[in-house]
Amino acid sequence: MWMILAFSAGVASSAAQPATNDSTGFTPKATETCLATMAESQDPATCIGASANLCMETTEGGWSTYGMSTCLNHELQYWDARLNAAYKDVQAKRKATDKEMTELESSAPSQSESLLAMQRAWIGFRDAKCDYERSLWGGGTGGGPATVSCHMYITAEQALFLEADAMVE
Amino acid sequence: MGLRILIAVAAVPILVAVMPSFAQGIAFSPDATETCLADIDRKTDRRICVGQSARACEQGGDIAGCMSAEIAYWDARLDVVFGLVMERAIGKDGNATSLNLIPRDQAGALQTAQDSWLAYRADACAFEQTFWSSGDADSPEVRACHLYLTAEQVFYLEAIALIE
Repeated sequence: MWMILAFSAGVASSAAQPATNDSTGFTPKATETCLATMAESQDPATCIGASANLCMETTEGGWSTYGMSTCLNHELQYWDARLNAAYKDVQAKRKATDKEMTELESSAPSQSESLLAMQRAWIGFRDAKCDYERSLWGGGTGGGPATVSCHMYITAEQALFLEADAMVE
Repeated sequence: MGLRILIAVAAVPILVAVMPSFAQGIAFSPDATETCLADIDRKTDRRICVGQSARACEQGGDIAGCMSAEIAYWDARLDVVFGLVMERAIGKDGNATSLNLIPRDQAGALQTAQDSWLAYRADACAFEQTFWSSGDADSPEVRACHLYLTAEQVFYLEAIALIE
């Protein structure tokens, strides 16, 4: 599973770096500040993309198709690293529960297996949803950044979803 | 042009058809959810409105019945908006063919996305089912999972319907 996730995300490992090697100077700070200071009933989705937007604003050529894709991809990689970390965390906890249940000779279904099934289904959903969003752009060049944006949003939402599950022992 | 009106008009017959099976002894109305959605600003998480009608209805005592009724409400709303977005996709695919433009299959992409979402919802809620101790498909946690995921898909497709 780990391989599937890493493979699907491309260069997930590079996302842990705080700053980037290209000229954008992307940092996830704007997104993190937004999440840390939001009102209780605020939609966390309103914080997704804050760092990518700042990157577009502060980088020369940031609003070109290439610039947008680059900035959005940086934030995608940031969320992908968070998703992978949260998944690993939930998986470790669910495996521990499975082990306890086995020791108790319980017939309870495996939590870690159903977590894996969910995450595989999510990958299929993510790809199909973002293919559909690309189709809304016809063959236009906006379809490139739009697809990266779609992946950024859905990955961020799944990361937040799994981070909530990771809080349960 | 109010999509809301269109949806409301289209949704009513379906809801009327769906309700009787749940309506034995419970008084469900989607008003609390709809009023909440109408009143919040863009930054507020719309999920705070999801489940409000079920909670209002529960004062009558049938918690599971009320939850089922709100799930049925969101399912009906999903059917309506999916039908609308699909109809437009089919129309655009047809236009591309008749105008000799590059062939496109937005309808197919939408159907694949919806099918994969249904598979995701099933697996996500199955995980919730093992995650919580009762392990019961009818448990409040599993119902809540269906309710929230369905409502989020409705919000997504309704936003698409407004852009197009």
